[in-house]
Amino acid sequence: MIELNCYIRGSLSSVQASADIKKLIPDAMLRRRISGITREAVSTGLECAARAGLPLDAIITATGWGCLAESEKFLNGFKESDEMSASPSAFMQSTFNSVGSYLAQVLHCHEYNMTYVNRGHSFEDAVLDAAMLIEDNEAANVLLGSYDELTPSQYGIMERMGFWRKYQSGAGAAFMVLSKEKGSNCLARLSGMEFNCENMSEAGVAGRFNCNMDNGELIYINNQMFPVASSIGFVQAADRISSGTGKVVIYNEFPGERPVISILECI
Amino acid sequence: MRIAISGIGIISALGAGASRTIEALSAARSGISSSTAIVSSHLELPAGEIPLTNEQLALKLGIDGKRIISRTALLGAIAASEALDNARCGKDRRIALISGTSIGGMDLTELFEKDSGKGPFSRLRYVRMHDCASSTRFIADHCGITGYTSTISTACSSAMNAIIAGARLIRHNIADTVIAGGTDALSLFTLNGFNSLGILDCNVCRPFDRNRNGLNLGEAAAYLVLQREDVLDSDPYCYLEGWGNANDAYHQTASSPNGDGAYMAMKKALETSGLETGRIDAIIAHGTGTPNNDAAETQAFVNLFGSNIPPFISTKAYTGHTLAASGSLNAVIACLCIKHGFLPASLNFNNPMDEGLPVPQSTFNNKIRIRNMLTNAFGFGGNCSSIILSAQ
Repeated sequence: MIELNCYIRGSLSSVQASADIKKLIPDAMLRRRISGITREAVSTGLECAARAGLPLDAIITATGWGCLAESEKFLNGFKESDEMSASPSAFMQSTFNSVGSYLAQVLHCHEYNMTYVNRGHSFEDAVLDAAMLIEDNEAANVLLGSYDELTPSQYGIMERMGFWRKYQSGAGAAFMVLSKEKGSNCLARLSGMEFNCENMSEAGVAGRFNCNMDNGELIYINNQMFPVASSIGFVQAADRISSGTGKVVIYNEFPGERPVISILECI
Repeated sequence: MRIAISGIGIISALGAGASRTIEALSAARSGISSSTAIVSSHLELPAGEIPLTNEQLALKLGIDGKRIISRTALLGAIAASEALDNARCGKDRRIALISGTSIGGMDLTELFEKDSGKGPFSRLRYVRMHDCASSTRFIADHCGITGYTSTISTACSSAMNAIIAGARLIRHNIADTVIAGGTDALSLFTLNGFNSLGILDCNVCRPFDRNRNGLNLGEAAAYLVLQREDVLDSDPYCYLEGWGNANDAYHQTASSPNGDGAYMAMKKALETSGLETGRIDAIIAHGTGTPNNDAAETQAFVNLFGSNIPPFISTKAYTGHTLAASGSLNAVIACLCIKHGFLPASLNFNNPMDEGLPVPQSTFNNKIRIRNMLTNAFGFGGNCSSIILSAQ
């Protein structure tokens, strides 16, 4: 177990997001330029940052598959035209770090900016990086988030691969602000993470960490074939702790990968 | 606690391995060809293509050449295993892998025929390696890495950021040895993408020249073995003393005219190393050959170093711009420069840029003693990274 000590001072999933995008992104040009998952992720990140109200000194994003719709649009464009035409804007939007860079542009954040693209553990990699950055005093408040979309062709391909017989599909975005200081708006403390765990049953995890499952102390993810699932788990965990649960253990076993465990506690 | 570079591995258009790379750099020989032979593109653009088919690459790894494996993964496994062998790591080391890539398995995905259902390229094996992490997973399995693995994708600074992330893993004792770097194969996706942005030169690129007219794409994989000083199994090439990442926060694909992000990344690297600007002996610049990058980067040099800018070069006219791999490619070359005491010539430089901007070193120097070397990698989304490698 890697011992960590930092504080979640804001969390928001795209389902919870409600702010007017015109207020979040005053630049109409930029608003028009972004669509789909990029728009959803950037606006969720900006609203999360605005709610936390802290000066940010790092932005870390995570995505399993990136901006797939734009990638497909670009790919189909040059394939169908036999390389005669290709959309520069789709190419730009298809870049994995485009969400992180739009957030930096809107927030005028010139500091550390990183993007992890590591399947179902992308978000945990981002959380670990943020926690280490905070411990190194390179950042005090880090905006971090995860996003993934599900396009029709991807759904079809994964259906052919047989995933939907065993696993749930999903999509969305979720963001958090992780901080060095507790402040007055702290939701939960991140106290530890463990990578490359052995596969464990729900009861096994609960037993090892002494979780009271009736109190929602365990978020057990093992059948969700969408990389953003664990970041949504983090948002749920922070919500539960801020409304009274003592601790929440997040067990994330992405299909085909070794599990990652994260522990959030009340302050 | 210092972080040593104890192993390097590289494959690019200059050849596979450190000695072929040194040979080409010493002879000022470019690996860029007038068009691609393995990637079948109608664009006929010059590129730094590795002249080996996927089947030949697989055979180098000792695996069945008929298996459908993304070129990004094959190149990555060749360079990463070379780096690991080079470091002669003990089996009991806690080894992590951090790999940067910008296209992952797109080279296979772009062959996939999604609608036909029956064609030769409609089989699912052409999309199984699509995601970026699949190349990292393949490299980890090939090298027998069971520790922490991660994948970073920040466009052209990906591999440099993997090195920075690797340093942090060692500093926090999550690993004592990290294989860090990046891999990107040439693909129709990137050729058409950069072409659509209008930033490809139809001739061999001319970094830092007044008449520069864009970049050439290339493909490469390059990895470094980072080790905590007290667990070394071989003499290190040099030490990773400084690192910095900053964001230009200006435009999705263009640098700010003053090179603010570049300046901040280099300044942060100096700060973490504790070195003054005067202690930097040479720079391997990002130097892509686009009008925008080279003007912004040299302006950042002026802003940081004033009138005492160390000799600087670009490697892009040798290998092409190898995108996600470019940062670790430059870092591997920097290790070789420090160890062997040379600085390659920046190729195709003839005319100084306007407005008194500095000029690159355009002749081969084999009498230079490099104590501290700065190297840069900048990516789309204003992502700017720098590291400092030091002898002793």
